[in-house]
Amino acid sequence: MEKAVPISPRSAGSGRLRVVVIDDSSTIRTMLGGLFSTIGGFELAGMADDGDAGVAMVLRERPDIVVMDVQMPRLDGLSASREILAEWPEARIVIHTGSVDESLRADARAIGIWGYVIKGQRPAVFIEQLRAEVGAQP
Amino acid sequence: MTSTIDTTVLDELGAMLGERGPAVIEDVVRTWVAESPALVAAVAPDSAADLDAIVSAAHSLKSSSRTVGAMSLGNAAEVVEHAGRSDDLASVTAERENILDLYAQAVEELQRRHTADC
Repeated sequence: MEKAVPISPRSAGSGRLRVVVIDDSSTIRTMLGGLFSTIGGFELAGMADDGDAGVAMVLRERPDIVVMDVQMPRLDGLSASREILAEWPEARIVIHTGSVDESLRADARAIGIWGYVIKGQRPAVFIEQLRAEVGAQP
Repeated sequence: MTSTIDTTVLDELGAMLGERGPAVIEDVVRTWVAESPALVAAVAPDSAADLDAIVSAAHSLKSSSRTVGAMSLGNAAEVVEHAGRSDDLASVTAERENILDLYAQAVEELQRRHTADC
Protein backbone atom coordinates (compact mmCIF):
# COMPACT_ATOMS: atom_id res chain seq x y z
CA MET A 1 0.00 0.00 0.00
CA GLU A 2 1.23 3.48 -0.80
CA LYS A 3 2.55 5.36 2.20
CA ALA A 4 1.19 8.76 3.09
CA VAL A 5 3.24 11.68 1.84
CA PRO A 6 3.49 14.54 4.33
CA ILE A 7 2.44 17.91 2.97
CA SER A 8 4.42 20.97 3.95
CA PRO A 9 2.59 24.12 5.05
CA ARG A 10 3.60 25.86 1.83
CA SER A 11 1.86 23.32 -0.40
CA ALA A 12 -1.00 22.48 1.95
CA GLY A 13 -3.38 24.78 0.11
CA SER A 14 -2.98 23.05 -3.22
CA GLY A 15 -2.53 19.55 -1.80
CA ARG A 16 0.35 19.09 -4.22
CA LEU A 17 4.00 18.47 -3.48
CA ARG A 18 6.20 21.21 -4.94
CA VAL A 19 9.30 19.76 -6.57
CA VAL A 20 12.61 21.26 -7.68
CA VAL A 21 14.59 19.17 -10.18
CA ILE A 22 18.38 19.59 -10.34
CA ASP A 23 20.01 17.66 -13.18
CA ASP A 24 22.55 18.53 -15.88
CA SER A 25 20.82 16.30 -18.46
CA SER A 26 18.35 18.32 -20.51
CA THR A 27 16.63 15.06 -21.51
CA ILE A 28 15.97 14.12 -17.89
CA ARG A 29 14.89 17.65 -16.97
CA THR A 30 12.45 17.67 -19.87
CA MET A 31 10.99 14.31 -18.86
CA LEU A 32 10.72 15.12 -15.15
CA GLY A 33 9.43 18.62 -15.86
CA GLY A 34 6.65 17.18 -18.00
CA LEU A 35 5.86 14.61 -15.36
CA PHE A 36 5.74 16.89 -12.31
CA SER A 37 3.82 19.65 -14.08
CA THR A 38 1.14 17.24 -15.29
CA ILE A 39 0.42 14.31 -13.01
CA GLY A 40 -1.71 14.63 -9.92
CA GLY A 41 -0.15 15.27 -6.52
CA PHE A 42 2.86 17.24 -7.75
CA GLU A 43 3.72 20.76 -8.86
CA LEU A 44 6.94 21.76 -10.59
CA ALA A 45 8.55 24.58 -8.58
CA GLY A 46 11.63 24.88 -10.79
CA MET A 47 14.55 23.19 -12.49
CA ALA A 48 18.29 23.83 -12.47
CA ASP A 49 21.10 22.35 -14.57
CA ASP A 50 23.94 22.39 -12.04
CA GLY A 51 24.50 22.29 -8.32
CA ASP A 52 25.25 26.01 -7.90
CA ALA A 53 22.03 27.12 -9.57
CA GLY A 54 20.17 24.36 -7.77
CA VAL A 55 21.23 25.51 -4.29
CA ALA A 56 20.02 29.05 -5.02
CA MET A 57 16.73 27.80 -6.43
CA VAL A 58 16.00 25.47 -3.53
CA LEU A 59 16.75 28.10 -0.89
CA ARG A 60 14.52 30.56 -2.73
CA GLU A 61 11.61 28.21 -3.52
CA ARG A 62 11.66 26.01 -0.37
CA PRO A 63 10.02 23.08 -2.20
CA ASP A 64 8.59 19.97 -0.55
CA ILE A 65 10.97 17.69 -2.47
CA VAL A 66 14.31 18.24 -4.22
CA VAL A 67 15.16 15.65 -6.90
CA MET A 68 18.95 15.86 -7.07
CA ASP A 69 21.34 14.39 -9.64
CA VAL A 70 24.83 13.53 -8.37
CA GLN A 71 27.27 13.96 -11.25
CA MET A 72 26.98 17.57 -12.37
CA PRO A 73 29.31 20.38 -13.47
CA ARG A 74 30.47 23.16 -11.14
CA LEU A 75 28.95 21.66 -7.99
CA ASP A 76 28.05 17.96 -7.67
CA GLY A 77 24.83 16.75 -6.07
CA LEU A 78 26.26 15.74 -2.71
CA SER A 79 28.12 19.05 -2.30
CA ALA A 80 25.01 20.97 -3.32
CA SER A 81 22.98 18.95 -0.81
CA ARG A 82 25.44 19.81 1.97
CA GLU A 83 25.07 23.52 1.16
CA ILE A 84 21.28 23.30 1.13
CA LEU A 85 21.09 21.34 4.38
CA ALA A 86 23.50 23.74 6.11
CA GLU A 87 21.04 26.56 5.40
CA TRP A 88 17.82 24.59 5.57
CA PRO A 89 18.16 21.35 7.56
CA GLU A 90 14.51 20.37 6.94
CA ALA A 91 15.02 20.09 3.17
CA ARG A 92 13.84 16.78 1.77
CA ILE A 93 16.43 15.91 -0.85
CA VAL A 94 16.07 12.73 -2.87
CA ILE A 95 19.16 11.66 -4.77
CA HIS A 96 18.34 10.61 -8.35
CA THR A 97 21.31 8.81 -9.82
CA GLY A 98 22.31 6.14 -12.29
CA SER A 99 24.79 4.77 -9.77
CA VAL A 100 24.01 1.87 -7.44
CA ASP A 101 27.21 2.48 -5.48
CA GLU A 102 26.69 1.58 -1.81
CA SER A 103 29.35 4.04 -0.68
CA LEU A 104 27.40 6.81 -2.40
CA ARG A 105 24.27 5.78 -0.50
CA ALA A 106 26.24 5.80 2.73
CA ASP A 107 27.65 9.26 1.97
CA ALA A 108 24.16 10.50 1.17
CA ARG A 109 22.76 9.15 4.42
CA ALA A 110 25.64 10.62 6.40
CA ILE A 111 24.91 14.17 5.26
CA GLY A 112 21.17 13.90 5.86
CA ILE A 113 19.82 13.11 2.40
CA TRP A 114 16.18 12.05 2.66
CA GLY A 115 16.00 9.36 -0.03
CA TYR A 116 17.64 7.67 -2.98
CA VAL A 117 16.03 6.68 -6.31
CA ILE A 118 17.76 5.00 -9.23
CA LYS A 119 17.66 6.72 -12.63
CA GLY A 120 16.58 5.11 -15.87
CA GLN A 121 13.55 3.29 -14.53
CA ARG A 122 10.09 3.41 -16.06
CA PRO A 123 8.27 6.64 -15.11
CA ALA A 124 5.58 4.95 -13.01
CA VAL A 125 8.23 3.08 -11.02
CA PHE A 126 10.15 6.32 -10.47
CA ILE A 127 7.06 8.13 -9.15
CA GLU A 128 6.13 5.18 -6.94
CA GLN A 129 9.63 5.04 -5.47
CA LEU A 130 9.79 8.80 -5.02
CA ARG A 131 6.52 8.80 -3.09
CA ALA A 132 7.74 5.89 -0.99
CA GLU A 133 11.06 7.56 -0.23
CA VAL A 134 9.41 10.78 0.90
CA GLY A 135 6.60 9.11 2.79
CA ALA A 136 8.83 6.55 4.48
CA GLN A 137 10.80 9.12 6.42
CA PRO A 138 9.81 10.32 9.88
CA MET B 1 15.80 -5.28 -37.97
CA THR B 2 15.30 -5.90 -34.25
CA SER B 3 14.09 -2.86 -32.32
CA THR B 4 16.62 -1.22 -30.04
CA ILE B 5 13.89 0.73 -28.24
CA ASP B 6 11.81 -0.49 -25.32
CA THR B 7 8.60 1.26 -26.37
CA THR B 8 6.92 0.64 -23.01
CA VAL B 9 9.02 3.42 -21.41
CA LEU B 10 7.64 6.33 -23.44
CA ASP B 11 4.24 4.65 -23.87
CA GLU B 12 3.93 4.54 -20.08
CA LEU B 13 5.00 8.18 -19.81
CA GLY B 14 2.37 9.09 -22.38
CA ALA B 15 -0.32 7.19 -20.49
CA MET B 16 0.58 9.02 -17.26
CA LEU B 17 0.44 12.43 -18.95
CA GLY B 18 -2.88 11.99 -20.74
CA GLU B 19 -3.57 14.51 -23.49
CA ARG B 20 -0.24 16.27 -22.89
CA GLY B 21 1.57 12.97 -23.44
CA PRO B 22 2.39 13.16 -27.17
CA ALA B 23 3.72 16.73 -26.96
CA VAL B 24 5.88 16.01 -23.91
CA ILE B 25 7.22 12.81 -25.45
CA GLU B 26 8.11 14.61 -28.67
CA ASP B 27 9.88 17.26 -26.59
CA VAL B 28 11.79 14.61 -24.62
CA VAL B 29 12.85 12.80 -27.81
CA ARG B 30 13.92 16.03 -29.55
CA THR B 31 15.91 17.01 -26.47
CA TRP B 32 17.64 13.63 -26.35
CA VAL B 33 18.45 13.79 -30.08
CA ALA B 34 19.98 17.24 -29.55
CA GLU B 35 21.86 16.35 -26.36
CA SER B 36 23.19 12.91 -27.20
CA PRO B 37 25.67 13.52 -30.09
CA ALA B 38 28.17 15.18 -27.75
CA LEU B 39 27.84 12.33 -25.26
CA VAL B 40 28.26 9.67 -27.94
CA ALA B 41 31.30 11.48 -29.35
CA ALA B 42 32.84 11.56 -25.89
CA VAL B 43 32.01 7.90 -25.15
CA ALA B 44 33.26 6.62 -28.51
CA PRO B 45 36.09 8.97 -29.47
CA ASP B 46 38.01 8.58 -32.73
CA SER B 47 41.32 8.53 -30.89
CA ALA B 48 42.68 7.91 -27.41
CA ALA B 49 41.00 10.13 -24.88
CA ASP B 50 40.88 10.84 -21.18
CA LEU B 51 39.25 7.85 -19.45
CA ASP B 52 37.65 10.08 -16.82
CA ALA B 53 35.91 12.05 -19.55
CA ILE B 54 34.74 8.81 -21.18
CA VAL B 55 33.38 7.48 -17.87
CA SER B 56 31.54 10.74 -17.16
CA ALA B 57 29.96 10.84 -20.63
CA ALA B 58 29.07 7.13 -20.50
CA HIS B 59 27.34 7.65 -17.14
CA SER B 60 25.24 10.48 -18.60
CA LEU B 61 24.50 8.63 -21.84
CA LYS B 62 23.38 5.57 -19.85
CA SER B 63 20.72 7.46 -17.91
CA SER B 64 19.44 9.72 -20.68
CA SER B 65 19.20 6.83 -23.16
CA ARG B 66 17.22 4.69 -20.72
CA THR B 67 14.90 7.66 -20.17
CA VAL B 68 13.80 7.46 -23.82
CA GLY B 69 13.70 3.66 -23.84
CA ALA B 70 17.01 3.16 -25.66
CA MET B 71 17.91 0.34 -23.29
CA SER B 72 20.47 -1.41 -25.51
CA LEU B 73 22.38 1.83 -25.90
CA GLY B 74 22.08 2.53 -22.18
CA ASN B 75 23.42 -0.94 -21.40
CA ALA B 76 26.34 -0.49 -23.81
CA ALA B 77 27.12 2.86 -22.17
CA GLU B 78 27.10 1.12 -18.79
CA VAL B 79 29.64 -1.43 -20.11
CA VAL B 80 31.89 1.47 -21.14
CA GLU B 81 31.36 3.23 -17.80
CA HIS B 82 32.38 0.15 -15.81
CA ALA B 83 35.32 -0.65 -18.10
CA GLY B 84 36.51 2.94 -17.83
CA ARG B 85 36.30 2.90 -14.05
CA SER B 86 38.49 -0.24 -14.13
CA ASP B 87 41.02 1.48 -16.44
CA ASP B 88 40.18 -1.18 -19.04
CA LEU B 89 40.85 0.83 -22.18
CA ALA B 90 40.69 -2.28 -24.40
CA SER B 91 37.06 -2.95 -23.41
CA VAL B 92 36.18 0.71 -23.84
CA THR B 93 37.62 0.66 -27.35
CA ALA B 94 35.96 -2.67 -28.18
CA GLU B 95 32.53 -1.20 -27.42
CA ARG B 96 32.98 1.79 -29.73
CA GLU B 97 31.37 0.37 -32.89
CA ASN B 98 28.50 -1.13 -30.91
CA ILE B 99 27.76 2.26 -29.31
CA LEU B 100 27.78 4.00 -32.69
CA ASP B 101 25.50 1.36 -34.27
CA LEU B 102 23.03 1.31 -31.40
CA TYR B 103 22.96 5.09 -31.30
CA ALA B 104 22.20 5.42 -35.01
CA GLN B 105 19.39 2.85 -34.74
CA ALA B 106 17.93 4.53 -31.65
CA VAL B 107 17.86 7.98 -33.23
CA GLU B 108 16.21 6.65 -36.38
CA GLU B 109 13.57 4.67 -34.51
CA LEU B 110 12.73 7.37 -31.96
CA GLN B 111 12.40 10.09 -34.58
CA ARG B 112 10.22 7.86 -36.74
CA ARG B 113 7.93 7.02 -33.83
CA HIS B 114 7.70 10.31 -31.99
CA THR B 115 8.62 13.39 -34.00
CA ALA B 116 6.20 14.96 -36.43
CA ASP B 117 8.68 15.94 -39.14
CA CYS B 118 9.92 12.40 -39.82
